[in-house]
Amino acid sequence: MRKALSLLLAIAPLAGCFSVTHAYSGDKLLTTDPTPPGRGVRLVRHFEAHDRQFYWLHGGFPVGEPLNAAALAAREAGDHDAVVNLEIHDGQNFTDLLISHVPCVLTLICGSWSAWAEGDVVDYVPAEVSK
Amino acid sequence: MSPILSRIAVLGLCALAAGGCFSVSHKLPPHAYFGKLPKAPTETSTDFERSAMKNWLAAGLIPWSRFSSDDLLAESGSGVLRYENLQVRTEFNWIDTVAWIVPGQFYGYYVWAPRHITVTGEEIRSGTALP
Repeated sequence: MRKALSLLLAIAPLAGCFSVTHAYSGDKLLTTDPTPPGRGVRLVRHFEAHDRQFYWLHGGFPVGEPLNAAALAAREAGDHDAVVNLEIHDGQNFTDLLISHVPCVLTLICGSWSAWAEGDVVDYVPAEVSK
Repeated sequence: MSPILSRIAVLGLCALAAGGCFSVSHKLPPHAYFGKLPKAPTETSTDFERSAMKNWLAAGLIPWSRFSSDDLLAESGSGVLRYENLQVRTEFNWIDTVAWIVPGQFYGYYVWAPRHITVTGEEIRSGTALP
């Protein structure tokens, strides 16, 4: 009983490990929509972006900037207006698995996680041009 | 091959086999937005938060929960014009951590490991129709 309680207490700080939040509050428009309502758009380029984060102790303690595929897409947009056809996902690819399971000993010591964003960077077309 | 090299090779093969672990593709409907659009006077918004547990077999390699983020949004029913201010979070919350770590390090992690997916945002619906 005491052993089980100790284990529960030991893992309590680790709840939320390897957490990833995709959110954005800036001035770019990021959408899964191919064309935002009431707006014409002109394709600038397609992009696929990837980011990786390192964590200590079973993913409990993240290092560096938090993973965020929406922010990643906004960064890809640069000076342009919006990202359309946005797809996001997160998880572990082969490299993350190697890092987490071999040198990090089954994620006990450390681990890494990834986020991906894919979409089209676009500019709004002025109303008179889009007509 | 020396025993150390063969062990490293086996670990590498295991990691390769497990590549893609715990990966979550956030399939969102085409009218999903990170950030906000200008709201029409007839539109109303409602905050929402939905969460569900996604389960995997074989150390996160094989998902046996088939739902995706769009299934969580589909719970809104019909009449939603778009989803705004979206925030998509994937994490091992305390339930997942207990399921993953306590039995996991002894027998369970390779059999069953869950993660929680939470989607929050605003549902935009059309209010009173204009005459």
